[in-house]
Amino acid sequence: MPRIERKLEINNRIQELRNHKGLTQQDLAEAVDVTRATIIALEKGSYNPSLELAFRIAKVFKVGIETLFFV
Amino acid sequence: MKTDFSKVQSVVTRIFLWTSPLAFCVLLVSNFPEVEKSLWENGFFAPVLGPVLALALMAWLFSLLFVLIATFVSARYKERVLQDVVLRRDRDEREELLSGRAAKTSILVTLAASLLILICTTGQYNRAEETDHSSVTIGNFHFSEVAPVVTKLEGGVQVMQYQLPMSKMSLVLLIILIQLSSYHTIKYLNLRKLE
Repeated sequence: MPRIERKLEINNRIQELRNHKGLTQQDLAEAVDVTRATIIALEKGSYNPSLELAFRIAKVFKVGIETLFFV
Repeated sequence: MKTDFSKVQSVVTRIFLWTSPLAFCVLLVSNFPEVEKSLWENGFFAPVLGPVLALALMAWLFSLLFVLIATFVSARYKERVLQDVVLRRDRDEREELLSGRAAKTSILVTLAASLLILICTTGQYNRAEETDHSSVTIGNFHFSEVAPVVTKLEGGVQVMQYQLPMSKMSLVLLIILIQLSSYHTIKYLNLRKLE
């Protein structure tokens, strides 16, 4: 039987941490040098960031990358 | 800081982009001799717009030559021209990803369209005069065709017009080969960069 490759669903706590820190989506976008649309896509889970962007976001929230992203 | 050459590139690219619609209009109008004649006979068009259009067309031709050479030589310039043409700049990694996907889909669509056009160019319609039987055949590969020499009398001078001996089929085939080879070359070079 052929093996069916399933896409790994990666969740994140970006919205939760952003609200906790009192940041707007625009503030976060400017802090990590991306567009607001990218932050929206990240929070909705429709876009998985590169490792570099993931570390940049984690640095803004001062948390580890494993706290921010989980499977 | 911008170098002198990149300033030249920027100016020439803008000239090319701004004069392109005008050049296409001129080329389109030249296909309709009646319209072209009536425009030139117009009192305002000939003395005022005529020289402006001629200058724009000349500027377009020179800038086209520059853009063509620069696009082949510099990858960075190629990207900038593309950004100017599609009027969009990738602002972050997500937009770069989307552009990459769009480019991939676009190459597949144009490749499919080119292949269809290629098949169409090898098509031929045959009809027997006596029996009135007709048929359509495809797969007539002719890489070159002898174009008839057109003789024209322009301003009292006999002008012979020769065309390139390339058939439509060979031109379409050439486009497909350029498309595929450039795709694979760029991919190979990018892969080497990542190794």
